[in-house]
Amino acid sequence: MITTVGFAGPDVRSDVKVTVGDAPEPNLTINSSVASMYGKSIRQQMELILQEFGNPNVEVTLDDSGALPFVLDARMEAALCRHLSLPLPALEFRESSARRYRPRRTRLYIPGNSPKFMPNAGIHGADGIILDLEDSVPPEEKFAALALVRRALLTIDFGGAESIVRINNLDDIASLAPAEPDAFLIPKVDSAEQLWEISEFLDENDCSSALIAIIESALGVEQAFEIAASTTRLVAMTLGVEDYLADIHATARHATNWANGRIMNAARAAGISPLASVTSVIDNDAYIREYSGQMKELGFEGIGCIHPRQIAHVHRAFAPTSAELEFAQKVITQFEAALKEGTGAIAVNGKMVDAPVYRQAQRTLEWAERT
Amino acid sequence: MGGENLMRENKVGRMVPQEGNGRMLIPYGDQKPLGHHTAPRTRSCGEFPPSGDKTVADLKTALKNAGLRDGMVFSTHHHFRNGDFVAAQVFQAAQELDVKNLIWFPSAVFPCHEPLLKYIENGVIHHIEGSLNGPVGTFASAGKMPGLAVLRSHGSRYRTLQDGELHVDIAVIAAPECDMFGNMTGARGPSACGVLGFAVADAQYANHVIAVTDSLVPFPAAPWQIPGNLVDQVVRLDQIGDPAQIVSGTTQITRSPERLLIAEFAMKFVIAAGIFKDGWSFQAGAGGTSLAFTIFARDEMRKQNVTASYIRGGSTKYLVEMLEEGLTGSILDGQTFDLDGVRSVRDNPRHIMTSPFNSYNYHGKGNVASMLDCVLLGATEVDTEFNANVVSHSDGQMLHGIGGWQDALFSKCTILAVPTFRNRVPIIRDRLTTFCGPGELIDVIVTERGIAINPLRQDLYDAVEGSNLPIRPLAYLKQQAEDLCGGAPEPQAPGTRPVGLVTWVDGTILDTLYQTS
Repeated sequence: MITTVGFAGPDVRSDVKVTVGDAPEPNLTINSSVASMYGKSIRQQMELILQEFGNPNVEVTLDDSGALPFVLDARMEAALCRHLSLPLPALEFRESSARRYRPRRTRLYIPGNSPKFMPNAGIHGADGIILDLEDSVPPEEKFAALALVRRALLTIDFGGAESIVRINNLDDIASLAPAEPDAFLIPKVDSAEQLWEISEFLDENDCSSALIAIIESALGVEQAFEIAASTTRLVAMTLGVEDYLADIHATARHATNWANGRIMNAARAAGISPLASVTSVIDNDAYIREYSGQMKELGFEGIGCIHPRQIAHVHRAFAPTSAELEFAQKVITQFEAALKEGTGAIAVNGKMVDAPVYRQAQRTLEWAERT
Repeated sequence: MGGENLMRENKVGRMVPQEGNGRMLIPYGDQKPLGHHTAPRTRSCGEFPPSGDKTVADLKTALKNAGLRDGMVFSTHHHFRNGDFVAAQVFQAAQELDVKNLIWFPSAVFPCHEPLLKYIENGVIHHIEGSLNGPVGTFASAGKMPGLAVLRSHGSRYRTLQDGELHVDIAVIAAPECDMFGNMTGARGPSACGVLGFAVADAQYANHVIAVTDSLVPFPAAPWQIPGNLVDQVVRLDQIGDPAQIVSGTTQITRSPERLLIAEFAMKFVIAAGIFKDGWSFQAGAGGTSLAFTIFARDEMRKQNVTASYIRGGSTKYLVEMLEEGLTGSILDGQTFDLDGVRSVRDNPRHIMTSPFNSYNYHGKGNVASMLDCVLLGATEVDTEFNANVVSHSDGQMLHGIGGWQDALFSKCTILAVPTFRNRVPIIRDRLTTFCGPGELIDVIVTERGIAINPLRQDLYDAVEGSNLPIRPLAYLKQQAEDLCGGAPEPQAPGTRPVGLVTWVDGTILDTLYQTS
């Protein structure tokens, strides 16, 4: 039996194909585009992994197109585990920086089995990076993707972005809990119980990752508030448009209007962030700004992105206007003054200001400062 | 060919031979060679038919008339880029005429020239004196070519002919439209390629000039780019090039997020540094990051109502649109990349053909490159002192020609737009694999992880102070890439057998290329 993981070929960048077959004795062959620069260190790194697996009697061939060390680790582990029917080895713990409140204007999807996109995912200023194990990974690559995403979480600096993994199934959470992404993105949520279970599992495993739910069914939309209020780990919620449309037998995009409104209201009622859906338009900057602006006006805190060049346009659209900044500044100054004087509620520009408005004003200024 | 015992260290610490391809060589930095205007032998008009008809039946006849013999230096040009059929037909004819040991002095080679390697193997061509890349570069790097590949910039190639450092016996110029007298242009004809700037030096300085064309038109082929008074013979061929490969018609804007980010940083830098202003000038090529920079520049110019006085190209439809929209006063075109460029250089008097003499020549009375406010260039490696490599891969393999890269370094602000690493190859190194351009002429390195300014340019530091640009030390950018790549690359075994020379714009020797395993 031969097991292969990863990709090689003239058009492949930053990946490695690992081929494992049974052999009378251990054997390691390395073909690498960077042999003259990193040949020795690649061999050392691979021998170390083989040693950790007890130097099994396998013949391993690497066809390397410039894979970074974390990719070499992930591909080799995945190939050996696959071939020897072993679970992925335990990794050191990583400290999560999960936070309830943070800007989530942009969440950038990175396909979970595409190593070349990972090292630079964090340089484009996205508020969140989603390493995707679900729709963008074909079934036969799920295991390799899981191994890769684990290593990426431990190695890559995402530049302060919220690191998020969209899981494919609940087993992914067990594998990834030690790597503590800032959040797990849970697809196809249609009941509060689903999130309780996950939350409980994370509690037991001392993992502080937050949760973000994608609701993708008519049932899920009906349960929106129960889901939104199910666990304090849940920080945000969004609608999975394509699956939802299929579920309600609709084809028109505006058929999502009610569901979006329902999710928006439920999220706000439960005190979590409502997030708008992904746009796959990448060549039309004006459209991206218009869509983002509309979503902002509807109360959403961000949208999903599939290309880094969308990010700046979305951020521009979500940026507070000068009127909003001015209002926020006034709210803060006058509310704090009122607190000192012991007055409860005040009015700014004829609008009642209480604690939630004050907190919103603080967030407006805080996020404006970051951008 | 120079052996190891003749190697000597030059001013930038590279070992270079003192002699190569039968010529004495001057190491970079030792002295500044003077320029010359070589006077080629000139035939009198009395030797030509009074009718002005210089056409001959075929290429073989033309070569025989030109006195073809063993060891001659031949030149061809790359204005047909990867669609060139001329070089192949020239050496095919030479083989049929049974000559050997020719020296080929192309303005550049392309992958389409791979079939010509057989002429090196069978001795028709002795060696190629030019910037080698693609399959030809691989061949030379493997040590299979007798003689040394001599890599020169476009400006330096012109200077080489002008100074008489190398003398071309027979120049064969591909002419998309030509008349019987030899007046020719690249702007018209079925194989129109735009400008013929690379062939100007050969037309002036070669002993014998043959124009080959697939579009022979009645005299006068006017306006012409090269006058027939410089041409000895005219040959009509069925095909001189593949129009689809000569000009693509579409120049793709990159979608690579890293390249776009680098181009965006570069644009923000030129704005912050005050380089971007009404009347500015710049040069950016047709490659991914450069083209993206041009697009960003165009958008900013529209937005801020700024116009350029001139843009140096590689012209593309984007430059043409800017010219037609009034965003630039003119295009100084050295090479035309697409059909819009061809149309524009044909129809628009503000779209100006230039030769390397106009744009880049070092032994000339002034250098237009030094007047450019900024240029955006690429590199394969940069060292911590801002020196850079553009010709070889990090394993020493010949990868790219120098092109106009060295020449353009003379601009007021030279920006190298490079990623910090490519495919686990860190770009910023302690020591370059091949030394191709001195850091004192390289002002800014723009990467996806930040911008490094040459410490020699305190004025640029001051100009961008207070901007929100990610200005970082070059060492920091180097460290970032090495952290991702798993440390600095392992040291390479030093080369032993020279296979090529990297010359500087004045003809002195910057570095040696060695055989790779």
